[in-house]
Amino acid sequence: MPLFLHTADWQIGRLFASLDAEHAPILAEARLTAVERLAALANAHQVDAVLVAGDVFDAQTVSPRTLRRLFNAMAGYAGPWLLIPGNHDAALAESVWTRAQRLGAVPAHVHLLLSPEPRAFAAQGFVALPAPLTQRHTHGDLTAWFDDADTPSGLLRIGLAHGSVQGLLAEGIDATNPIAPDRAERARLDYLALGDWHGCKCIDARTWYAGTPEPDRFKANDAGHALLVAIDGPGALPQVTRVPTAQFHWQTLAADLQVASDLDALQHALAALGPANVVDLRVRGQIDLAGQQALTQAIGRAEAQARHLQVDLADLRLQPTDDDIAALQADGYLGALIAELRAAGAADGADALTARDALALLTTALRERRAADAPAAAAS
Amino acid sequence: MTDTTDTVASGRLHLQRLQVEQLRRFRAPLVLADLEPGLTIVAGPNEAGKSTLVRAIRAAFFERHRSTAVDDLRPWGDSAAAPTVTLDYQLGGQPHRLVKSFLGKKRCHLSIGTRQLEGVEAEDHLAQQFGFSFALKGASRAEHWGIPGLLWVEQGTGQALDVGHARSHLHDALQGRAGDDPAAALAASGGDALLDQLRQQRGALLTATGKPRAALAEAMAQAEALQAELATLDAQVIGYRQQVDQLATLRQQQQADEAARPAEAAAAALAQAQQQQQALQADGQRLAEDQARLAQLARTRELLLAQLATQAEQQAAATQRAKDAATAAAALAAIDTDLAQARARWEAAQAGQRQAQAAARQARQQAAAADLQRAAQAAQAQAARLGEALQQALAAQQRLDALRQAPPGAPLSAGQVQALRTLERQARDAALRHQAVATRLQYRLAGGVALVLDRAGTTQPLQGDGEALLDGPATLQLPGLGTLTITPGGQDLPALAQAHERADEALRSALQRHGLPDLAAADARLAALADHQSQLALAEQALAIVAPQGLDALRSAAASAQATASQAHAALAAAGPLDANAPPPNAAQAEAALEAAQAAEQQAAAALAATQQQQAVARGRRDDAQRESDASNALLADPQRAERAAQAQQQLLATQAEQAALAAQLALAQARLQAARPDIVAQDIVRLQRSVQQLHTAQQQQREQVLLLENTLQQAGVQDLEERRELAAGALAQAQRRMAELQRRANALALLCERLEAQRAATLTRLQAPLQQRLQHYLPLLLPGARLQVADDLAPGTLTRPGDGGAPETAAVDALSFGAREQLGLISRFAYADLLQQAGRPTLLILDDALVHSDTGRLAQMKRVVFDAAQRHQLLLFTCHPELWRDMGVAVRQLP
Repeated sequence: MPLFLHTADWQIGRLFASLDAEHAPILAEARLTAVERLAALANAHQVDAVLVAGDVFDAQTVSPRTLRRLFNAMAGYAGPWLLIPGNHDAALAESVWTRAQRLGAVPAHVHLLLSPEPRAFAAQGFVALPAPLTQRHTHGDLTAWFDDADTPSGLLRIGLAHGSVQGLLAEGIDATNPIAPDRAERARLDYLALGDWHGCKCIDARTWYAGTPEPDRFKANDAGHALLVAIDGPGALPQVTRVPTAQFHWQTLAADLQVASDLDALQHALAALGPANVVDLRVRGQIDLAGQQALTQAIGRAEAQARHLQVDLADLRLQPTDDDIAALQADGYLGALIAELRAAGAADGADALTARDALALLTTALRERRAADAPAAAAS
Repeated sequence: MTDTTDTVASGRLHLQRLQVEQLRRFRAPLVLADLEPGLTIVAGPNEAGKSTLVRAIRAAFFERHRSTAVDDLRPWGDSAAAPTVTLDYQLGGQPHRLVKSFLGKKRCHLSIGTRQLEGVEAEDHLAQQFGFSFALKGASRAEHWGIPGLLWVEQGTGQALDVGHARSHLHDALQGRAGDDPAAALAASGGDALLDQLRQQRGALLTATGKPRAALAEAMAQAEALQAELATLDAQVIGYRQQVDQLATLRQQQQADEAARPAEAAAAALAQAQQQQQALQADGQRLAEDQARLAQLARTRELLLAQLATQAEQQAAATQRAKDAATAAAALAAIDTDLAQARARWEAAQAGQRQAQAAARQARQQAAAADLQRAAQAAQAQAARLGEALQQALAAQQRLDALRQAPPGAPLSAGQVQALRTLERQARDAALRHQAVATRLQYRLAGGVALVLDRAGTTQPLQGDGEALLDGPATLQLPGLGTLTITPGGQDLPALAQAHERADEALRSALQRHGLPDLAAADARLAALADHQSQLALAEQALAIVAPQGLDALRSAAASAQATASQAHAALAAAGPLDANAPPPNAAQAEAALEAAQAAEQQAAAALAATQQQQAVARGRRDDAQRESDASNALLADPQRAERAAQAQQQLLATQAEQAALAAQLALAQARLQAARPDIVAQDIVRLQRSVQQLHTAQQQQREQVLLLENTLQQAGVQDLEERRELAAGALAQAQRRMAELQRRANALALLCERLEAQRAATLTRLQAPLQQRLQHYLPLLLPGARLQVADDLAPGTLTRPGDGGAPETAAVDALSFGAREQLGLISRFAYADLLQQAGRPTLLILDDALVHSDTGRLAQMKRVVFDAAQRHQLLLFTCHPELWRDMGVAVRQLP
């Protein structure tokens, strides 16, 4: 009973350069270790082949070192790895694949399916029908030839393609590299292994997106899996099992602070973050001085705990309560200024934002002064 | 507010003791002890040291003990002195002691209860406590004095109130007081420290003018640099991708070309065209040969035609020559005839000429005879005419001679007659003058009576009527009666009588000279003389008419004419008688006829000569023509000539036939060649050759381009290009985030600083109200019903008070008198002191010789004001008029 490990969208060479310099290399490295884990997984399950459905590399011009490191990472599984190019690593006249071949970096058990022709793996009991991208984008269905491709009977027909299944994915995604939704049926495929969609997604019983094994964006689409595909024989329905493979969990944490308990929930969520979390925190709504203090502390703690935490508080309005203001003991013209800034900050627009920032700065300074005065007063 | 005097309880300032030594005139210590908590009056005359004390207090506070700018404190001539001021005061319920010495021993010590402060620390404590600052360099000046500058009034400056220097100190002093105090409520606790802190933070990002600096400027520059770097990398990535696409395109083309082999097709077409060109070239050569042959035939035909034409011409020439010879002979014969005629005409002309010559000779002889006869007749007539003229001339001469010999009298000219007439008039005038003075004797005598008048011996009988003029004594003899002697009177009478006599004499003698009896005779003779003269002239004229050259000439001319007539007759006689029957001779006609005859003869002779010459020419011609004719006839007589002509004729026919056939053949060949367009075939060959070459070159270039592109794309330079681009993009995003954060922070800080400064400035301005309130506490004591308005600079601005008519009058304080301004200035200072005291600040008022310009009434009112202020503040009043201040309820201390 042939067993396959289906994966895609490794995006090797991705650097996450817009993140902190501290975190980016770790996240980039995680993409290579994900391949190592996949190899281990293939080994552990004794699969017959690993199907990699495109976008193995993030770019055509990855460094030779990265190139070699990828193929090294695949050493853990000695069986056949079937790789097809995707839109990021299309088999162009000069491509990451031609470079890899020139470098002699491609091991014998790694099969680069760079042209649209059947490749028989008789020993493993299947024929691969690849639809490699030879341009960055196409507007024709590269899997169309599967329909008329003859393969020896008794061998499974396994399709590999990279693109958008028409009409099923979100609007706008299916603009280029289209794939007919009924290709598996029309081409009598036993399984169609798809790549391009980074989340794990089932199109039909024989057609799956494996998604990327290691998430690379905050979009919550069930990324971080590989698929174990078991097929009894030609014509049998595949048994597909999702296997989690992610090291880091990318997520967007969006909070709208309207009542005090909203902040509590956010604080809890932040407190729950650990070293596997890569978080995009976006907070809107309004907050009083105490809340702001608490939130700042919670964010500080979470930054120390999480792998990466990026924070956007531009839409969060500081609205000190009257008690807050009283507690600051801002008398005289300082009090008047706070009132002025509160009023100005209540509006919308750039000036209001500046007023809120100014208010935050002022209250912080006042609080710090009070904090500094208090021990002094206590001491004296 | 309570007007308490409990200094200890309120913690207010109480200066208790003041000691000064080695300071100006106070070389020995001067002590003012037990100072009142309220008013203390120190009096002394000028130069007693009041101002020195004030200066000492100021130095103790304002000057740094290390200052080198306090030489004025040194006693005169004491270079080693250490001017020292010691102040003991209560403040905040604690005893303070300040000991400050300068120059010789620089020291500052402040003890507060048990706390000890030294040097700068002590000084700064004082400055903070009292609200002033130190000069950074040199002596302390008004702008450093702060609140004391406001409260300590120097001699003669009470009217001037500049709050500006004290503003920031006032602010510090009045802030931080909680409660319902209106002044304190407007200040803010720690506001200035906060502003300083925020300004510092702002300064870390923005320049004073709001331009980005330091971290913000760096972030901006970095973002910009990264943007540029990213753009470069983007361009490189795009370039790289284009090259990859180009490589794919080239490879496809290469494959397509290799499959299609376009160069081979072009080469085959080229070979075919070249073959066609060769065939066409062979055709062309044949055509050229045929054309040459045709040209030769044409030349042969022309030669034959020329030969035949020559023979025909010779035949024609012979015929013509024979005709010419005949014509020449005929012409000769005709000329011979002409010659005979011409000779005959010449001979006739010669005869005519001879005849005319004879006629002419005769005519000439006849004409000469006629001439002689006429001359003889003319000479005869001339002689006759001259003879007659001579007779007439002789008669005229005779008449002339007669006239000349019988003149009518002596000659007398008209002038002479005129002279005579003049004399006659003079004589008459003299007589008249004489008679005018003579005695007139008129008489009428009876008939028969005669009287005799005797005058100068002459007697004159008088009878009848008459008169006599008596110009001298006269005697009238009266017969019978005697005599009467009459003597005319008048002295001139004798002279006039004499003149009358002389004039008569002159006339008489003149007449005598000319032989004339009287003047009338003179006139007659003059007329006769004139008549004679005219007759003479007539006679001379008559002679001149007949003998104009004189009588002798006429006479010889007559004789000469006579002689000539005689000669002519003789000649005529000699010539013989004339032919009476002969026609009247016409010599001219005869001469003309002779000339005509001669001309005719010459003409005829010339005609004869010409005809003779023509005959010679005609003869020559006839001989030539005959000779030529003979020669032609000889040529035509050659027997071979006809044979040659026939042969040529035959040859010409054959040539013409061949020529026609060849021309038709050539036209066909030429048309064929033209239809094949060898020029276009040549172009085809060039075009195809180029195409083949071009296709080869293109293929070669394609191969090279592919190789080049492959090499370029495999170069290490493009490796990790996209990774670098991603790194740059990431760095840019980070830089932009940081820039945005810093910008936001800068904006917020800028806003905060700006608003804080504005609020702070507004606060001071709002001190006006409480100040106004305190002013109003004092003002009614001085000016009942008046109101003092505080201006923006917190100094008294305008004064409003009831006028004379009850209506309020408003005036600027500046416009008031010195005295009034000083009074209002002091009141303002007291008001400030009140505010400061309410804010818990130490207040000490010092008035040095104040209010000296106030009148008695105002001074009395101001004393009440001063006393009232002294209830709340310690007040040191220095004066040189102690008598004015004895009613203040305190002892006046006299300086020694």
